[in-house]
Amino acid sequence: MSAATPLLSIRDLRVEIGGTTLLDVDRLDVSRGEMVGLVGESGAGKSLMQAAILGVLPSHARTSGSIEFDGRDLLRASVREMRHIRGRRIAVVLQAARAALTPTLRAGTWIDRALALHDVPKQERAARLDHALQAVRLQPTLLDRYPHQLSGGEAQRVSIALAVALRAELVLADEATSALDVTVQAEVAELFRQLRASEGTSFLMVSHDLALVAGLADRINIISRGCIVERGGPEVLQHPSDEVTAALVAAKPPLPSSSEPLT
Amino acid sequence: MTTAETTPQVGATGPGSRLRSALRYVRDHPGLVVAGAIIAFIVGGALLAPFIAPYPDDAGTATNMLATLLPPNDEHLFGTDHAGRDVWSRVLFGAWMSVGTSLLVILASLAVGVPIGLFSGAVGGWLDDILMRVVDIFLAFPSLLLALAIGAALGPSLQNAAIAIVIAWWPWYARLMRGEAASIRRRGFVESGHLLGIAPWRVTVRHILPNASGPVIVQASLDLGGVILTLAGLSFLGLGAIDPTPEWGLMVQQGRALIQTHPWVVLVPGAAIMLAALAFTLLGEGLRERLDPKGATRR
Repeated sequence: MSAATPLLSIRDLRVEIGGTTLLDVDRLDVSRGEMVGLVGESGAGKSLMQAAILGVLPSHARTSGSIEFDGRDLLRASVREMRHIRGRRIAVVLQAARAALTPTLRAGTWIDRALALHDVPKQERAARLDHALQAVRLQPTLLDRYPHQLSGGEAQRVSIALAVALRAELVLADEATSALDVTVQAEVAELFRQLRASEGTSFLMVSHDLALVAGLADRINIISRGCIVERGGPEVLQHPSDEVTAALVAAKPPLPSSSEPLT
Repeated sequence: MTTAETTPQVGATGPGSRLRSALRYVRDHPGLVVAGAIIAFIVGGALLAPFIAPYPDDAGTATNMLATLLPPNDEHLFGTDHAGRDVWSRVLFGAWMSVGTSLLVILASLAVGVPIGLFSGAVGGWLDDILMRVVDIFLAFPSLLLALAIGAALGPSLQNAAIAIVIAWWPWYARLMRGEAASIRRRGFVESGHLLGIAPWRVTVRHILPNASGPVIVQASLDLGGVILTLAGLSFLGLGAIDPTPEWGLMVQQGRALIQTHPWVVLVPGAAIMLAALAFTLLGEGLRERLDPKGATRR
């Protein structure tokens, strides 16, 4: 694990569904401990990109190129192999945090089962859980609650705690803060910053909210119609060279310039 | 499920508050309490019949032609039937015949219907289509009629009647389970389960099934009353239990002609059927409230 090779390295990724190219990304890298933003309007290909990374594309999708994660090409990994990478090494924090927890399981049970699933021995689980709870500043008593008894922010912390407990190397934050109110948003953003510092976790922050991502990410990629149209540090916002970026900065989507539908 | 909220908290409770919380439970769930009492009575009767029935032989082949159609008296609490058999003894033994058989029928129907429905709903696609069309074919016939036809084909016996009802009944659970599973399959926690690297079968069994089973459990409990009635109905029509089996429906059928002159022969097993059906319906309604996951915290 040399510092030179990025943790996640996407090259010439193309995803075709039904003969239409929906994603055509020449290059996207996430280094260890780096926070990278992927910003675009709805339908730009953000979700598809995540699905490709996680290996959950629809079965009729055709792919080319490579998605290398720690030296292994995820596009060519077996279903079984992907299952061990997904969740354990690449964790996902979803927008609807409460809906992402199984309603019939207490939060603590949910985490414990996930740890057991990924072969964390029983005697180690308690210590990992303690550490994770401290890292996300979650009261241990909340673990006895069912999802509907948690607030959105608490539920989000539970998902993040699981990522910490599993020692995920990369966290895919899918609009992870969009459903939260502003103060909780700031808390979760701060949490991401701390995790990165304390655990060395890498983040790929996927969002339509440029302002939020700009405040966190080291590098930002603007995606539009399946292509990355602009990349750079947060300073790209000051001098947008692309109209999509300019529109995102102005926080309004561009009017379709042609009659061609976005998807 | 969650026993924590039904048992009083240990520590801060004295005998007074324990009684109070029990009373509050009765006030909040009158249906469940009544259902529980009746069911306890029926189950107790079914299990203890050989010990508490005053004339255990009357549930079998015994006859007593010198004491036919006696009205209720000191020796025969609910009188005797046309063969001089003690009605109370037969009703007690009949609890196992009627309720026990119905319970087995429901369990067998669940055992067939739930896995099929769960699989169908969780997998989706063309397999789902095929399975559900098969279910539709079964559902196209009214279940009593279907049970009647199958019962007639198999020949009259309590066991055949039970098999006939299972064949007519399982598609309802398959359909119900399939609908629940199919809607839950699209929920966030199933997606996050897959994203956590959980194998699909495990997501189905550990995450979809528990969240989909509430309505099925409720329906099964409500149906138990219906199955008791159907089983009694088949026996009444001569397609179920045969004499001298002390099955409640059969007892009603045998006393049918005597209802105006010797009503106890019909009324006692009839009341037993009604009470049992009522109790399981109340239980189902009570469970419906309890099993709603969002209701788990309600005090």
